[in-house]
Amino acid sequence: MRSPPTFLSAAAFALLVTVRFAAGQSTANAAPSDIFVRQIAPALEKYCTECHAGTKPEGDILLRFKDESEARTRPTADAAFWRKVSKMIVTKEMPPDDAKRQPTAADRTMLTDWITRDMLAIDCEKPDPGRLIIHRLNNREYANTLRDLLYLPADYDVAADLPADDRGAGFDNNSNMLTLSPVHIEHYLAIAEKVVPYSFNLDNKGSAPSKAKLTAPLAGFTADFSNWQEKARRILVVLTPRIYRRPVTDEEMEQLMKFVALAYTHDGESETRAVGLAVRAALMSPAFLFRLERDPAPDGTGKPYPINEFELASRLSYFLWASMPDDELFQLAKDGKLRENLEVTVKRMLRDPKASSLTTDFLGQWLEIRSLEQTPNCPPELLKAMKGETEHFFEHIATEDRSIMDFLNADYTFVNATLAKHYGMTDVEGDEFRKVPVDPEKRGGIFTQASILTLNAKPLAVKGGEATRRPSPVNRGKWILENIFNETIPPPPPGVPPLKIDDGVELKGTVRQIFEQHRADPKCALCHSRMDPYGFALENYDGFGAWREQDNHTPIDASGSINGKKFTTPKEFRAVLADRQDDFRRAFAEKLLSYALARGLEDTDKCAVDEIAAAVKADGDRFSSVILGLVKSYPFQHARGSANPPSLAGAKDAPLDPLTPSALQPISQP
Amino acid sequence: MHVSLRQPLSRRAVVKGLGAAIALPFLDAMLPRVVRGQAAAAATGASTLAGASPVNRLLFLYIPNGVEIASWYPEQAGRDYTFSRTLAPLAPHKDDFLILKGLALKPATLDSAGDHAKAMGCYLTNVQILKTVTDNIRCGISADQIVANAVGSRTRFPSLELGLDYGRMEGACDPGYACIYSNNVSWRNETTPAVKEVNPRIVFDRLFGRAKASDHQGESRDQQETYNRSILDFARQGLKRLSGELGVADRSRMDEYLTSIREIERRLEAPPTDIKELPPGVERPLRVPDTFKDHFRLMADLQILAIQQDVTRISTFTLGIEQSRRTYNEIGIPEEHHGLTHHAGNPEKIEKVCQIDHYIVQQFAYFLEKMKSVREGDATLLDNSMVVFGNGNGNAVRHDHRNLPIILAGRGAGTLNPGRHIVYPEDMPVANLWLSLMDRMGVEGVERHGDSTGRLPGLTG
Repeated sequence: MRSPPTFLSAAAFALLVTVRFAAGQSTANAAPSDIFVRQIAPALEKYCTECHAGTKPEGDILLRFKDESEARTRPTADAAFWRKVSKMIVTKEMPPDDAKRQPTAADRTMLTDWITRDMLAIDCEKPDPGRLIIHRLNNREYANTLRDLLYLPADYDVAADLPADDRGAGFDNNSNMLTLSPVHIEHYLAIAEKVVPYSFNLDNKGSAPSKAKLTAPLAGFTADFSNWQEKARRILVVLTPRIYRRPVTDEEMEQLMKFVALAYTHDGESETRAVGLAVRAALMSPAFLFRLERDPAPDGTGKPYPINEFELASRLSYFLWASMPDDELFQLAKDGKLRENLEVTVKRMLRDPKASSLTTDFLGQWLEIRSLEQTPNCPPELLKAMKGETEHFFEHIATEDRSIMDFLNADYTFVNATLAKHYGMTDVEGDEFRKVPVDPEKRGGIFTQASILTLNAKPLAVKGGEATRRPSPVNRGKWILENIFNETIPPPPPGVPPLKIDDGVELKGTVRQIFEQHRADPKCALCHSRMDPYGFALENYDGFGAWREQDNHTPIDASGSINGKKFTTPKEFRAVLADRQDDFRRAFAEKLLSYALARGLEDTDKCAVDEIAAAVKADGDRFSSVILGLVKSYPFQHARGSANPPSLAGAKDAPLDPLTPSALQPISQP
Repeated sequence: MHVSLRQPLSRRAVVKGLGAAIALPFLDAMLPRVVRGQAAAAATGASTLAGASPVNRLLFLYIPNGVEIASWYPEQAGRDYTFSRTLAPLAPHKDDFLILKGLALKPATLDSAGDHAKAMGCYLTNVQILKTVTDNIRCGISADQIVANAVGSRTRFPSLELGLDYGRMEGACDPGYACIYSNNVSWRNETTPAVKEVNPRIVFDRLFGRAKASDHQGESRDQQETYNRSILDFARQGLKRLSGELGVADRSRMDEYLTSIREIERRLEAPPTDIKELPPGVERPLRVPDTFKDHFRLMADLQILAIQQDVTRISTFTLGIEQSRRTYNEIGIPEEHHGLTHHAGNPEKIEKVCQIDHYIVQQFAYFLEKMKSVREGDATLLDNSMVVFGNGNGNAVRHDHRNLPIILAGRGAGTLNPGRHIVYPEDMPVANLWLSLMDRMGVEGVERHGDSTGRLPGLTG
């Protein structure tokens, strides 16, 4: 362990006054430079500069400044620097546990508020909704949208062949990562070629129910030879706004009607075939393939604006359903009544079966269990049951609108026969999952579920070649800090000594004892002392999450201490975690906000997270309060305009396409 | 294209995955005429860097995670070297490849940590990649795409991007770096990777789809393509209408969309150089084989068939993403590859890493053998190709990005002189090799690529 730092006595700073700035408050009772002199500099001296000053500051983090101006302008103290410092203070990573003085909660808040407001120049009174980014529908969104648009059967998966989406900030709906290659265009063309005839049931080779719904606008209309195309138009007038997820201009309709005419010039074309060709075209249009939000006044000032209600409808539906808005959402947007009915609409959407995408897509990626079935060295049937438990647990919290604190500790879980057997429970038959009480000594909360415990174990070959898994306390601890508390753990330094556990040699002592030797190295201890207590607390669970009392014939030691609070059993560990409810609430809001906005969070989102967390806490941490707080939040309701005037932007940058430099020149609006 | 079915199959190799079978006939007569003529010219062995070059191909095979370097290089330089343990499976092809030692990927040493992301992201781009987990991805155009942009329009597909895995579906990748870097070796530009296909069935359909009977009710393939051309034109018009409202951030995405559409349009307009009829014995693979070996071989066969048929001349084939967690149970290794490479000197783990390296090299030997078995006039397909087998980490445990394991196989249509182990001065930029290969592909006017300092000497002898 590091030797405990000693701090300078700070008589000179006896006048230290701490003032807590409420989040979002931009005024203070002192001028900015006064705050620095009277409060910030003394606090930095009191808690930080013992290590972070001089010519060789610890970790190259230098926290002594002669005045506020230097703090703002020193080249090494850039935004990334301040973000890092702020994060360290928030997560209590700094000062280290063994430091003589720990800042009070008020001091921590004072420092982070100052960093946010004065160093990162974030003013919650002038919020920033974040960048406007064009969002290609990811594979899941694309498939779900086609399913709902064309009334396809639920098991008709058009996305199976699409190349996997890349992920950013943990989620595959991150707009920045949704790039486009010719391969995508090929797939989109091929999918449209296949799915459109299917949904119009051409030659009776597709879905008759889909066709019935798509051609419903023809009810009561009889065409004669002079107005065949009118039939097509009637279908398209209803369908196209759903494809573009917004009202369609007359010019856009005429564009599509050209395809109808094109199809009619070929012998044997029916109106559904003709409509089908127009639909295939519409499915390749940017209005369908991308979620586009239009700056209503692109004047280049970059000022935020409230998104229109059609855009809001899409944000809601892609967040909660990973799919297009339904007719009810469209109607509300059309009537301009979506915002005033936001709460009731969100609750309706959460009750819709399509909200299961929150389980498969959000939960699956947040907790990293989406591909759990592919875990090596574990029976597939058991993996399926493990995943089922966590999914049912999440859906229960969502549909019953339970407290999100159930993730940290709950007196129930969900099992089927396979999992019950694994947990040593009796009287559970069949594949169906049901809610069961848990033995509070052994289970409770998400990280005592076999899925998470197995995920954070490592494949291992034991003597004799039998493949198995061993628990990884480090991975488990890291997983909890990263996913439950949204903390960042740096990578290990190079040249880490090996762990004897994985060598198949006979072990002396428990995994825990081996790990403790490993982290005796001071350069490892800094992070491991953060992570490992969470992992060792779960030592009673083996590499598959089954309960155990011994490891290698030695009794399990699951004791530890977190933020100065000691525990010896999993039950006591969960009691200690109750102290971190505020951290979890924020972390959960951050993960969900990042998913909802389809982008990584920025400094400016701190304001929104503060507000959401406060509202959620006030509402007893109910699941719906997170969702509602989030959809009402400033960044969800607004977009930032482009900071470059379009005409200038075109001139400043290299031509987008050397073949047609004019391709992106502004032309008159339809 | 005339296909003589009277000629017996000169070679037939069958790879069987479960339910998947593909048999590749390597018929000289199936070559496009242009290739036959040029291959014959190339077989004369004359150095043909200038003037009318014979058809040459450039293929990159990327090894994930790095290798156990101590067991990789032979001890001796030059022609008379003794095979190292790892490279021993290549012994039958000793005269067909160069072992290049001393090449380095300096851009990957910049910034802290994230060595796997940098190994992959920098390997063919040779630029410093921007350290970010979410916004503002910045890489560079990769060497294969520079070649594809310059000469790719001569074939139906400017380039092919294949792989054996897409990338991790959950969790974080290399700390500080978005997964997009450690998943993609080929980059169309600084923000857009060239997406790879991993499913052999989809690759088959892309390459040879025109040979299938149309499965669209009552519409011929030609009619479909007429329609698709109109649809793409319409999509481009839609983009024009949008342009006035888009900010700069949006435009890069729209640019990807536009250039992608253009490429497909070009392909639809190009004379069909692809196969109208499938070669006899070639079947559509139905699923992804379970083992590394079977999956590799199926993808290799498809790739070689595409090269042989002149459907493309440029490809990248990623045998695994960086930090690949693949377990090689089929050779008795249930531990994860990436975890094992961090062996920190443990002899048992080192042994297992060596076994994995050896296994991967065995597959490369298969690749070379397959390419050699295809005749092009008096030469072989391998003679008229340049195949780079390598990785951007170098030493898998240290990630020092120096002494990269690089093997350059083939004669490059008479432009390479294989059969040697060449030792370069330490830290020779691998970008110099890419420049030298670009020259041999007929790329003109590229003086620098990333951190290159010139052309790589010694390749011709």
